[in-house]
Parts: sequence; C-alpha cells; structure tokens
Amino acid sequence: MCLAAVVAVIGVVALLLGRSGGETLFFENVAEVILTPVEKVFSGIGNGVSEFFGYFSDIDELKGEIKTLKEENAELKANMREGDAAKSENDELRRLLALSEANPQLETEAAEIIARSPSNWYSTITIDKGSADGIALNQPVISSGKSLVGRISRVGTTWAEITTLTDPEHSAGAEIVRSGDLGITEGDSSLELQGLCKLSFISKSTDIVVGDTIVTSGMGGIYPHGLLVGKVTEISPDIQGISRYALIKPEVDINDLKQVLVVKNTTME
Amino acid sequence: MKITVHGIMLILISVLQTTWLGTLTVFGIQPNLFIVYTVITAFYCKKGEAAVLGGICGLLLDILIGRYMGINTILGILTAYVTAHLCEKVFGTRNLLIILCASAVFSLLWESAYYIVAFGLIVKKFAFGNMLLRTVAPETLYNCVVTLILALPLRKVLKFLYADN
Repeated sequence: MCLAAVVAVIGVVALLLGRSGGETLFFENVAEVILTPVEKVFSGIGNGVSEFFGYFSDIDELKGEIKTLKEENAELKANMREGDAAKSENDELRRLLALSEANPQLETEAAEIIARSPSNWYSTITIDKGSADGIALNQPVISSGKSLVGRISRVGTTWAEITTLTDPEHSAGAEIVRSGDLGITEGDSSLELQGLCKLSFISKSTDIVVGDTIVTSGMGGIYPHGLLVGKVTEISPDIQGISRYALIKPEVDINDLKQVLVVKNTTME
Repeated sequence: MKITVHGIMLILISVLQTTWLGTLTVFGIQPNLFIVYTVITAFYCKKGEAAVLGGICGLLLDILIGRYMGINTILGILTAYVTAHLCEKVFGTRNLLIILCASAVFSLLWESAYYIVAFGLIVKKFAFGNMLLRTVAPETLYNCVVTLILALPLRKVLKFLYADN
C-alpha cells in the first residue's frame, strides 16, 4: 500500500514537472542507465530466439529455393549436353562436307544411322537414305575420315542396310600400305564383339608388322583403292600353319558412328 | 483385343531391339527381346496360339536381320509350341522361377540352333565352342535378366488377356 502510494507520488511529480526541450530528467536518466544493459541482454536474447524460430520458418522457403535452383541446374546441364551433342554432330557433318569438297571426284550421299543389327551374330547398320536417293546395292560406305565402314547390302525406297567390315559375312581386298603386300580383310563372329576384323591369306613371306596401316586394295570390284581399313594389332599363324592372319583394329568405331557417306561412284584414288 | 496388344508389343519390341538395346550392350552383347517375349507369352497361350505368336516373333526377327529368311521363324514356332506344351503338361504353373528357367533354356537352344544352321550349314564358318562361350552364354544370361524385368508387368497383362486359359 505504502509502495503504491510512493509510485503514485513519483508519477504525479513527473507529470507536473513535464519535459522541457528534450532534456532527460534525472530519475529518467538513472532509470535508463540501469535498464539499458538489461535491455541489451534481453534484446540479444530476443533476437537470438527470433532468429532461431525464423530459421525454422525459412526452411520451407529455402527448400523451395533449393528445388528451383536444382531444377535450373538440371535444365542448364541438359542444355549443355544438347549443345555438346549438337556440336559433335556439327563437327561430324563439317568433316563429311570437307571430305566431299576435298574429293570432288567422289559422288557421295550423306546419311544418318537410324538402326543397328537386332542380332548379336551380325554387324549391320541401317541408314535413312534408300533407292529414292540413288543408293544401290554394293556401294561402298565410308566415314568422315575416309575410313571404310562397309557396303550397302540391302536397299529399300527410303532406307538401306550396310554390312560393316566387322560382320562375319563381309570381306574386301586389302593392302598393307608400308609393303604394298596384299591380303583379304574379313569379319569374324568371334572378333565382331570386340570390334575387330581379320586380315587373312597372308603368306609367311609377307612383310607385315604390328602397327601397319591397312587400306582397301581396289580388287574385287566393290571398293575403290585407298580406303583406310585400320591398323594391325596382332599377327598369328592360321590353324593349318601354312599362312598367317592378322587382327585389325578398324579405324572407325562402328558403335560411335552417327553419320556416314555412301560413295555412289568408285573412281576414288 | 489380344491381336491389338500383341501387335503393339511386337512393334515396340522391334523398335527397341534395333535402336535402344544397341546402346545397352554388356561386353558387346545385347539381349533378344523376341525370344523373351515368345517364351513368356507361351506360358499363357494355348499351344496353337503360342506357335503362331512365336512364328510371328521369329519372322519379324528374320525380316530385321535380313539374311536367311525362315530360320528364326521355325525356331520361334518350335520354342513357343514346346514351352506352351511343357507349361500345360509338365509345369502346370506360371511360376516366375519356371518362366526364368524356360527363358534360359530356350535362349540357349534358339541361339545355338541359329548359329549351327546359319554359320555351320550355310556360311560354313563354324566355331561352336567359342561362340557358345562368347555369344550364346552371355546372351542367355542377359535374356534372363530382361525376363525378370519384363515378366512382372507382362504377366499382369497376359493374365488379363488370357483369363479364360
């Protein structure tokens, strides 16, 4: 009761004295001096608590932002991949164009690969050009690097099938560039899955070493002379021991091919 | 209804076999969806129906390969007929494990028979032991994995289509 009366008196005195020109009163100053550190502490605690609860309330917002950023990142990555794919396709087409321009005597038709062999026994590829585009049976097919891919083995109006050089039923006359010796390059079922082919019928006197470059010999009437076949990776005697055979790593990776050139005339040198 | 579903499935299989599966090779080996489909469906059809479907699968494979027309057709008919017969007379059940075993056995027989006829009798470049290890056995394993993946949804569709069998 007594304390209440004291507080009331102080309040009345304070009201009566009033505030003049923004000056702080003595007891006002004393109160503020005492209260300021306490306020500071409580304010600090309050901010901490507020930040703590604010953190939880921000989580949803942050999650949303992370999701959006992840989506944007995925989209950018996809765009980058598409860009890379387009660039590599563009490079391939440029090489094909350069090859056509560098060999004006070559009458070629660029084609895109649309399907591959459904069976493990054969190595064939289907292209999007057919008899309507001038494609005919047994025309040679090459890659942008003037490497042998194979020959046309089936033709439809808008499609054609290529039997590649690793197919077990493919063969072509071949020549060892360094020595000029001849042989026959042929596919083999046991080598096809490794992406290799064979240079057969090379006699013991044939000058051939690992690393030799093999090109088409032009014999046989299908392939022109000088198409790059690949490099010799191994030389072994055949089962009878009369002649030898060499394993060839084709210059072109059939599985990585996207576009090819069909040679419509075979007067290339 | 059955013809439509099988028609759509066969178109899908033909497209996948010549495009997408080429990128899913393991050591250069791709599975054969035609064999897998022939075996799984034969468990649900009557012998005659299974033989027709197996024949169509084989014929499609022959057309896509484009070499010796008829070998896969005959193998498809035989595979489907024998599978349906065994399912009816011996197995008496459509247990997933039995379907898996049938897929393994018939993949092995189908591909071995194709190699013997196409390479042994026609082309005469024959090295059966080598090819059994390098091509037929890995393909059989891969076909089993594909059977396991395809059998679950396919069995539901076939159960619905052949509810009367």
